[in-house]
Amino acid sequence: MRLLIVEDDAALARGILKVFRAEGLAVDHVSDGEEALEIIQMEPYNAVVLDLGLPDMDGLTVLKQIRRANISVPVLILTARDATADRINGLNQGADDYLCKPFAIEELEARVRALIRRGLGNPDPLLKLGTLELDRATGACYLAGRLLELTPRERAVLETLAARAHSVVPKARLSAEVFGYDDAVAPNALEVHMGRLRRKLEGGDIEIITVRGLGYLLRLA
Amino acid sequence: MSPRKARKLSLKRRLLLTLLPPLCCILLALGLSGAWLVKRIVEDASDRVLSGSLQAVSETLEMQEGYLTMDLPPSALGMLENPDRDAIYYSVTYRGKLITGYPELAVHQPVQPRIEGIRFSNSVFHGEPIRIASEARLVPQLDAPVIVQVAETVKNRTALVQRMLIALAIGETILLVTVIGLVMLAVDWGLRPLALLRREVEARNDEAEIDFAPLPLSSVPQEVLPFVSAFNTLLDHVDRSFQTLRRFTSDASHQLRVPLAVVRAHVELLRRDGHGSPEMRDALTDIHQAVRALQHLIVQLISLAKAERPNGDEADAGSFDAVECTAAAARTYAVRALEKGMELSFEADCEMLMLAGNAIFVGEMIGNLLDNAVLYGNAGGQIVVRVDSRAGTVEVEDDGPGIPEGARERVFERFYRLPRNGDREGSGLGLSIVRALGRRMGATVSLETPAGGHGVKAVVRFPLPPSGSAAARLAPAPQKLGADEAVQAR
Ligand SMILES: Nc1ncnc2c1ncn2[C@@H]1O[C@H](COP(=O)(O)OP(=O)(O)O)[C@@H](O)[C@H]1O
Ligand SMILES: [Mg+2]
Repeated sequence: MRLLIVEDDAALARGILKVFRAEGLAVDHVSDGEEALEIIQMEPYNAVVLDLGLPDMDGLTVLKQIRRANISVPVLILTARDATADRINGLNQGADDYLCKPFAIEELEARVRALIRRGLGNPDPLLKLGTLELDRATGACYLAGRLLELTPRERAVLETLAARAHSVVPKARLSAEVFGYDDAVAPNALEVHMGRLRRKLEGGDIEIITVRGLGYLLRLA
Repeated sequence: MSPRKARKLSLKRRLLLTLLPPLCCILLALGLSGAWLVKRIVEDASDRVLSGSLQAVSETLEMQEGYLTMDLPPSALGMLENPDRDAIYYSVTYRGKLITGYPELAVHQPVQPRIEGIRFSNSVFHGEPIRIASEARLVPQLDAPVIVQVAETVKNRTALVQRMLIALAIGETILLVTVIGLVMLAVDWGLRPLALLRREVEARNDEAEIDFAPLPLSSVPQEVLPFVSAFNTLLDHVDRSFQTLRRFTSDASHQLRVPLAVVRAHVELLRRDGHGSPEMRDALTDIHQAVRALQHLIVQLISLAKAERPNGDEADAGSFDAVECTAAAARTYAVRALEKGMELSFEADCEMLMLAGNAIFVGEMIGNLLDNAVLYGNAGGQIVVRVDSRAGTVEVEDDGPGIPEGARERVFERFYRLPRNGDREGSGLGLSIVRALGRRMGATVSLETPAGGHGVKAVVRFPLPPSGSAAARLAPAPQKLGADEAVQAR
């Protein structure tokens, strides 16, 4: 796995390098746009962390040129500027993700990891939360080492929630994942599946929470 | 100079102070000379009548057969002797001997009567002031002049003088009052443009969004023009320094982000390594917390600077779905609420509510209100987020300790936090940001007491589009909401 950091602030770059080297990635660092463009065209990186405020040129210009050269490496933008306008701009120019300075190290790690996975085209097939293990490839699902007998719909519900564990998944989105857009669904069909799934998860270390009016959330109990 | 003193020297006062003394002097001089003149004229006129009478008498003096005869024509004195005229007296003497008339009057003879000429003198007769006309007449065959005297009391002429003096005084008073009144009116009238200017300036004095546009010069009087121009220049300066200050806050905050990112990254790395003594790890934890607080503050400062930027850039155009924006913010904070053992729920009376404004701004507003509800609400309590399409409101309600009535405006001030929250995380900028962002969109923010009686209900009231315009509201799908309601159990 090769990662390129384009960051002109040496101290910050050192920190970022340390993080990813500790993870066993091969990390290169350049501190200006020219250099970045050069090295990106030569080396096959799995992901690029790109600072927007570079000394010689704007990070967005670098990004535009990368895309113009038809290089599809996933790019995460770092910026000290304000979110709103830049975010839209950056994502329009072909950035894959976006992070504001200062950021939490874990956040950066998680996002870069996700980018690399996305770039490789095979999302991690194994979903884990507490003692829950869900293999997306085989569909097998274990709770505390015990195999859970789930219907396909229940599995779809659990998988969707587990993929976005600890965040609220809107009901509409869940319905779409579980039933597809075209199915004619009874209004409370989702609740029926949800109720059964909850019973099967009982006694485990995870729970599904209803956030009234907003959706559902899977979390560690 | 004290303000009281300054008020004393008002324009009216000044004008009157400069105008009145000379005016009074002129009026006094006018009065004095007028009085003198009146007296002279009345005296002359009356004397002429008196001398007419005298001549009418003296011209009839004649020597007839050794006797001095005098024909006293009734008209001569009679015209003087009517009831409301003065009393008339006369005397004719020759060589000091009274020939006819009032002996008492003869006493008042001038020492040296003029020959063939009339002399006037003043005297007192029967206790009343009188005016005497005397003539020494040479009668043929007599070796000494005959002295003829006619006198009248002066009541009439005094009364006439008095009447005229009163008229003069009344005239002068009217003049004085008119001048004072005109000065007052003229000052008021002259100052009316200034009063208009004052109202214009006062109208701009909205503390939050001061209008620095120059004052209009069209109705300003010539004399005040330089002052207003100078004031406009000052406004311009203030405006520019205000902008600079805002930009400075924003720029400085941005500049702070990079070093802060460095500190944060390294502190987190050090903490992760887990090296060092327990004290060192504690210190790292403290530093980490401080860095996060600092980051929060800077992000809030940037938000505020952005919110307070003058209106009218592209960020203010566009529209947003209040239901979606609010739900998205609520989803984000639901996780934090759950961590604190709170239950967050969302209610909307429609599926979509399109309003004019910036979706990111609205998200930030609701986010700040939710942040407060989660932070200050009771652990284990309830948070309700509500979109009311009929009222055009978004509400965030908690059942925590609430905010005392008296502090509900103060908490909107920058950096103000209730004393009980002084040590908790937070910057005191959240509500200022909410209000400033709201103002950009014409929305108002208020803090109320929820129906339950305790906690805070923050209400953001957006301006609703005119009801005739393209329906911005999508009616709810009732079964769907009903189903949602049904899933209470977890
Ligand atoms: N929902 C609430 N319940 C109780 N107190 C509140 C609530 N919201 C705001 N406050 C009080 O108002 C103060 C100002 O709030 P805010 O402007 O958001 O700044 P901050 O939250 O950063 O302190 C808070 O410090 C708190 O004391
Ligand atoms: Mg707050």
